[in-house]
Amino acid sequence: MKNLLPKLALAAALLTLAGITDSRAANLTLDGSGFYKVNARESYRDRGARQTGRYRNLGEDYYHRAKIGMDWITNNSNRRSGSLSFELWAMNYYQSTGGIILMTRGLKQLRGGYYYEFKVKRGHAVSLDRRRFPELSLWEFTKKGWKWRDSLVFDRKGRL
Amino acid sequence: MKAPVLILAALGIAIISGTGGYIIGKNRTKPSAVSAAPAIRGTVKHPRANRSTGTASSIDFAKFPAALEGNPDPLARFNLALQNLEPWVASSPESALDWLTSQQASARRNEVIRMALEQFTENDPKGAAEWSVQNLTGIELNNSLILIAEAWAETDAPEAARWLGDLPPARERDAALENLLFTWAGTDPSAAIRHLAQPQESEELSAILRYATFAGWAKNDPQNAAAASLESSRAHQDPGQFANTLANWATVDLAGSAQWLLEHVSNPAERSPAIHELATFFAHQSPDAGLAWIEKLKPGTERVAATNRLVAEWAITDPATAADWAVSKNKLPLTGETTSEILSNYLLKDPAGFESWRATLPDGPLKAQAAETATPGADE
Repeated sequence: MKNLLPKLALAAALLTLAGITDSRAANLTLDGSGFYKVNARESYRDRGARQTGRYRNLGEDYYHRAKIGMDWITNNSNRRSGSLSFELWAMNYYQSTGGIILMTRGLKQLRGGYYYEFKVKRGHAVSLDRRRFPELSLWEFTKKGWKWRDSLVFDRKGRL
Repeated sequence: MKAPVLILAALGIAIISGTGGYIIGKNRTKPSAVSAAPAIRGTVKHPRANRSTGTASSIDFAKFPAALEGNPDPLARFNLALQNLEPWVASSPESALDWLTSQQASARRNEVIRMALEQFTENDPKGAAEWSVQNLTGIELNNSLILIAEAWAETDAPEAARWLGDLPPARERDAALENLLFTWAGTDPSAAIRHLAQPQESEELSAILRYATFAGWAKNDPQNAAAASLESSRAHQDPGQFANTLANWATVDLAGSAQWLLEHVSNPAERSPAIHELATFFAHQSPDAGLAWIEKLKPGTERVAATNRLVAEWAITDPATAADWAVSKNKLPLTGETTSEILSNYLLKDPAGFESWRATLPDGPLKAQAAETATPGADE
């Protein structure tokens, strides 16, 4: 259960925030600092904004340009990973388990023992227009469907 | 200036402002108005939304869908529906939503469905939840149910908990329940705590709901929430729960939560996870205040663990200062993992600065580890 795991926090400049995860037993981890940035300008997308990763579309809504990133996304195992989904969520409280999914971006499979460095993904995030705890989340596609692998939660709310 | 000129000037300003407002509204720019009313997904109504109650009093909404279908012009039909949408949703929301979803898919139709669901949630969150479960799936269901649960918690949380609890097990259901308990505990913690006594399908879901409840309580009454969470975490042998409650308090009052811990908790097993959380917060907000707080902890294991946690986190945001501080404390009991965190982050964020700093280190284990960190790996 992800909210029982120790998680991270922030350091910030304007809308950009950074956070850090603990190392954990899972094969795929988010390591180092992470950040998110949401553009102030919003527009209504009547057919939704295209996503990659776990979802192709989050439906019609207001969206703003968004950017999420991590210092490292690491495959600590020896096996090749499945496809990955790197996501931005909005949480009601610090280290919440369930929350509102704002953006999903796909990452290619990662060979065992390899990592992505300074991984930044751009896209469009649903504008919730509420103050929530942002969370970066990593999911892996497995034979049993999409499985949660790691999260980085920020310890200050932002308007998402 | 004469009065007519002033009036004309005021009129001009009003027209320019109004036009500008409309244009800006089409591409909203924050900070924007936040709707106080519960909503589905986005909370701001589309600028083009223009509900009119028009001739609603003369309309029999039971026969309205049939009357609409009798109009051969799709555009006129849709406009007529839109003109009467608010009273229609107020009178027969499912009928309105079902009719809307039966229309040809378009941006306008989807937008109106969302507006209707917003209004439905304001008036009848249970009905909106039922409609959502029957008509939405995946992420749209997840996001909608959470927002409906939050709204429902403010009007009839026990009913919301019963209704959601009766849904088949699913990730979307669990997320809605979690957010319901969080909101409920913010307004009526006693009732939310009583609800926790009801058996859940799994220990995992029980724990999620406990965490949410005490976090929600801590939002408005952190001291009592922390005390109650401490008792609850003892009963469930889950010190992580208490640490989470305290961490949620720390998001708004780090000093207060840190002091409360020192004064009210003495058992090392209960303090440890909470100290881990607070040290992280101090590292991000004020490492100096954190180091002063650590001096108040019990000497030995507790203080060492907190120092390592704080320095490791500090190194991620400001590795140069953390490194200088570590060097200034000659016999600091830092673990190899913490030292590695400092060195690797320093090298990553400022390679030149790292090399200069490394050159100043006295011979010893730290210098050797720094040299090892700076050694590039062989290419494959």
